[in-house]
Amino acid sequence: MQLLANGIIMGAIISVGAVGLTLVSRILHFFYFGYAGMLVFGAYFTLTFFNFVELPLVVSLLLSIGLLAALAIAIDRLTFKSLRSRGTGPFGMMVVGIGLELLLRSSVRLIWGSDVMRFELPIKRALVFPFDVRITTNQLIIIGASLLLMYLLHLFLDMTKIGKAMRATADNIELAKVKGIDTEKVIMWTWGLAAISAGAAGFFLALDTRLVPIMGWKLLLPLFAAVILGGVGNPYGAVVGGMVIGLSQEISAGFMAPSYKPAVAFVIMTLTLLVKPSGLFGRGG
Amino acid sequence: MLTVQNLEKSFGGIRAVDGCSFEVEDETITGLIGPNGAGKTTVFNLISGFYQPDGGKILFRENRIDDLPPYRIPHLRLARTFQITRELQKMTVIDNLMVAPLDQMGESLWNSWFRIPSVKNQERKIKEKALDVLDFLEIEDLKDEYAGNLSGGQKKLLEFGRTMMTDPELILLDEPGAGINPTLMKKLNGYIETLRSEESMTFFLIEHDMDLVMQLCDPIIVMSEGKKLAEGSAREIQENEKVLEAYLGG
Amino acid sequence: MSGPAGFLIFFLTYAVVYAILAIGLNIQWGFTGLVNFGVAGFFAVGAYVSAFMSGSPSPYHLGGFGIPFPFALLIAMVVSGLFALILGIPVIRLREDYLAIVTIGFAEIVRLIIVSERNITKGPYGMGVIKPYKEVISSPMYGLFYLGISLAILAILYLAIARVVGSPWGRVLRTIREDERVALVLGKNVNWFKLQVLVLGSMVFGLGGAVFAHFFNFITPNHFLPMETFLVWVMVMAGGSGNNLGVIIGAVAVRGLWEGMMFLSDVLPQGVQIGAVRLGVIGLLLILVIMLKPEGILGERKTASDIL
Ligand SMILES: Nc1ncnc2c1ncn2[C@@H]1O[C@H](COP(=O)(O)OP(=O)(O)O)[C@@H](O)[C@H]1O
Ligand SMILES: [Mg+2]
Repeated sequence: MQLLANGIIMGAIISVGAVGLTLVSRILHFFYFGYAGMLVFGAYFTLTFFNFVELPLVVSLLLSIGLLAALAIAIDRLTFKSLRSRGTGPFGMMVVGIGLELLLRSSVRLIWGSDVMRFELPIKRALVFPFDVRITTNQLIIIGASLLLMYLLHLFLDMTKIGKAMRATADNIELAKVKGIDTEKVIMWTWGLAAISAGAAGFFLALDTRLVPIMGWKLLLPLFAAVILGGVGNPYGAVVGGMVIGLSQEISAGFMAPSYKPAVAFVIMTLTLLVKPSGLFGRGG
Repeated sequence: MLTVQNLEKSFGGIRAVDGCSFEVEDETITGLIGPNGAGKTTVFNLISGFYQPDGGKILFRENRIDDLPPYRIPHLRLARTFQITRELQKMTVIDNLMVAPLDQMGESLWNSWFRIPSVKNQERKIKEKALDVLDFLEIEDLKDEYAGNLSGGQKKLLEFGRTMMTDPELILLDEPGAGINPTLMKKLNGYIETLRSEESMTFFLIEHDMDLVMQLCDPIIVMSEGKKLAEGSAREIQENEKVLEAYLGG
Repeated sequence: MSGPAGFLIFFLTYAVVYAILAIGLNIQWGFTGLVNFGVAGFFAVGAYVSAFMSGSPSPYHLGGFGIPFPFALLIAMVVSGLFALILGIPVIRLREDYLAIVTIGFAEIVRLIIVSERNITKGPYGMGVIKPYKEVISSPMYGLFYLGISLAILAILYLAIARVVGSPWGRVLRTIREDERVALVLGKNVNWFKLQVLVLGSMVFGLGGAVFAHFFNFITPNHFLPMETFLVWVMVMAGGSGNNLGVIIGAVAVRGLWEGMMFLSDVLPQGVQIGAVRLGVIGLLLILVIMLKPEGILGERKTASDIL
């Protein structure tokens, strides 16, 4: 039961992160490794506002997401935009994304150092639930906030004009262009949404564990697994995929060395690619 | 030689090929025409193994070929070209041709390391043949040029030559005349005629230029909306009302 | 030998290790266009296998089997190749971006296994690796001697690979790189060639791992971080994909840059970590190569087949 609870918490973190990653991967046509860097930056920005500027937690998170969005769009302007206009393929984009991941991680180390950092929160004892399941208040916050966030994202994608344009673009980019959707604008919004997703997931992960520059990279494999399992470009698929990956990783710890958790994500991802590359819910490719 | 029966292929909701049947006879130059989007290229992609049909059969010399992977098809002496030329850009013209022959000894790692004399021997013959093909197509002075630097027409010729290098008996040509000037077009027709009469090759070609098709092809198959609409000699096709309708309506 | 000469020998031997890796990746990416982001995984397999094979028996890790050095190298190559075969049979047909993620995941799993299976690998503590022929070479000269061995291995590898990439086999690889569909209409079994290339290249990574292990004499999972993979990628892309001499030069240059950054510590403010700077510089290089010079600095030679 405890493993189940852990799985749900991990699943929530991965789900939140995977929504942004799946839209970026689809709308920009490549798997963005730099997303790991965004996750880490999000966590450290929030930490800085909270621990050092001593702003309230929610304000810190919102500020951090704003900064992250600006950073992501600036990076796009400097790199991907010109590559897009030159018609660089997914491979070149991916390599630049990897370069950015290294660059961002290096910047985190230079700015904040490589030592472990934590949110300076009063330590509360874990709550004990039936079946002796222990969940900390932080973890309850994570689950609650993830649900709220996903609901808001759902509203955004379903109700707003730009949200619909994003989904249309994710469905079929050529068609979207023909229909007169301004794809460059959609791309800017995608980065904004990715910032929300990555900022929140990075923050949740940091809240549940701690901050280290490598944390983003370590979450990347489960994130890609969730994206692929859910079907690249399908935000709802990414949420389900994230849950499945989170749960399988944690439950596997019941009968395997816990250090093999990423291997579980890897196996699920590879099997998906071999059996049904379009993921559980069809879309993607 | 080639038999297509009730061939079907859909993409999402679009029935690109919808129960199409026809035959290509030995030593003919059979034309395949039809309005844009009729499903002609898709038929070629099905024959050459790039797509799996959703239904129907494809037989080449009485053997079913519709379940073969694409790389097996050329080994049956059935070759194809692409509607938009695909040259190997960062390789020289001569290398573009020399890679083509099937079953080269030197394509095995083992032979390349340990059986150099025989590999060299075969390589010499392949080079001679490539030079012959370049000579036939009158582009031998381009042999050391990067294929990517060729003009559109030269690329068409190169692709045609590359196909010749595989010693095919049936060649599928997808719009060989698209985007090349009339002079070159005439030359290409000449090559096709020569190869048919002197080397007993069979051609099955998609073409938009009606004058050309009427001159070169017999019989002609007309496709529209994934189906065979008509078949016959140039004269018969020109007088067929359904065909006129399909072209004017579409 | 110590002092500047000793450092030079150390540097050159290290560069030779990476030159071997770069040639392996050049077969895969440079000639065939096959994306393998799992270089570090095969590198690790080669290093550990050679360490198990050549060492003397120990209760703390697998082996050692006391096998002579040249055979340990061969076994390291074969085992690396087997890993590539087992991974490749199902995944070789995947699209290049999927293959990239799968191979990077593979390398991470290899490292995870090395960290976790302490009874086999001694986990994060790392394991010692023998110095081959140290009984016959006096210790001051040993570094130079091992550099000689490594250079000889590199030379043999270079010639062996030059022979096949200039053959009709190599011409098929280039065809696949330029346009897979053309390779298919010319009757080439593309997946079979790719599988051969994955295995051959990975055997070369295994060889690099073995040469590294016996040079460093101590290996830990931290020697095989994803960073190693990207270092090799920078070497190949900067040196000119499809040009073996170019990627060797790339290996020496990038290795030189890497070591050179050590001297930055005198210039940089106190507390700035060289490791972080290196990470950033390699990241920047990856970005710049794609943005400014996608075809590499040296580029490829013109004739594909030179067997005649
Ligand atoms: N790979 C594909 N995916 C989706 N639709 C396709 C694909 N290939 C062809 N089609 C569709 O099938 C129909 C027939 O196309 P095609 O065979 O190229 O026509 P033609 O060569 O006769 O002009 C068109 O509507 C085209 O859009
Ligand atoms: Mg067509």
